[in-house]
Amino acid sequence: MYFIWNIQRKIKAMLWIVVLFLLLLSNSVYSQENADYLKLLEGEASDLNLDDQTKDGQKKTPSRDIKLFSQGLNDSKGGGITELFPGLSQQHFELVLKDNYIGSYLFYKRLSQPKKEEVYRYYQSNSDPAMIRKKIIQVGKN
Amino acid sequence: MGNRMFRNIFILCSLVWISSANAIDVKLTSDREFVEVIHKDKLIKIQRIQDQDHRLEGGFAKTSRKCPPFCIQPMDAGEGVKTIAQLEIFDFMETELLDGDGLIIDARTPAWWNRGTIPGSINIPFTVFSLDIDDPLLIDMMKILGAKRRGEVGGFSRAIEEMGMMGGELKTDEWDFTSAKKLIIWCNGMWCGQSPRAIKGLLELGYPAKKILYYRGGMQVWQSLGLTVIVPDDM
Repeated sequence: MYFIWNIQRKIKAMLWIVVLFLLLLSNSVYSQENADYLKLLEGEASDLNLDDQTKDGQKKTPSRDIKLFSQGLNDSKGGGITELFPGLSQQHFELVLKDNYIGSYLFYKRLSQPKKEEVYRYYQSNSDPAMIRKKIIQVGKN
Repeated sequence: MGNRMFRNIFILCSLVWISSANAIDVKLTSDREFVEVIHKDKLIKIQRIQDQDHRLEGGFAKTSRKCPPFCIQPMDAGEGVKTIAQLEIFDFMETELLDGDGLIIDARTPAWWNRGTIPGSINIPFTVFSLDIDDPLLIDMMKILGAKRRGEVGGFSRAIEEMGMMGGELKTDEWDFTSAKKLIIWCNGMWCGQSPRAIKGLLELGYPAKKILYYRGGMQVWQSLGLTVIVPDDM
């Protein structure tokens, strides 16, 4: 009886060892697969050359530094207003835009004075930020 | 009198010639010539290459790569994740990205990113999303995406959240996705598994699928349309 019980214990122990071994093996196979994938990716990337005209396109693409616009953004005071409520003055409208809708503001800032006024007039009839954003982009393209 | 008329006609013709010379023939769409996007404090104009005889050369003209691992990817990158194309990206650039509610993620390894990316993108390699949940890099990157690591959550609160109350649908045991940004995730295109892996990793972390968009065309399609590519180091 003791003999059978001993064999059962040994089989159980061996089974645990096999399970552990398989777990370690699958983990290392997975890591190896990942490492191989990354190696292949690096190989493909090193073969990559950007098409000449695509590169030229980048150089010819106008880009403007907007650091000047963002300077002093943190000093701005929109009077603590965080939403574009109807009825703000143009100056206040710009400050709220600057404080809360920085992306829209950066585009707004580049508009000429008459276009800024056009956006402001639009805001007076519709203070929804999403619509104002669309208006800024639309006016900027005209 | 005759001279003046001749001069006026000449000026008019010149103006017509100048305006036609400046006209863009290869637009994005019939009513859209370009899109502007902010990339590292610079406004970048995204438009198409105007040379109509241009042919792709270089790495993205290549048709065949070993599969696996460079196999054709399915249209869907995950349940609930929407697959999009270029026009949706342009709209996203002018809306969510512009106001900081969204991010465009180049999920490729830095070796790819350094050789050119879509303007407005940030680089978070797909490998980040399979890091250990306590890895500081993963936590930092998730913070950029607007996800917060949660502290201890009481069992009772969690049970209520799991019932869909207290904004529970945007929370897991580990993360709070209440302020998570909408993401466009992309890599090299239809043969690239890097962004699908990133999406899989994010979904496993509990990132809401409805806030993830998959740009399957990736750099392959972007370049085949002659759209602006920037090299980050040259910026």
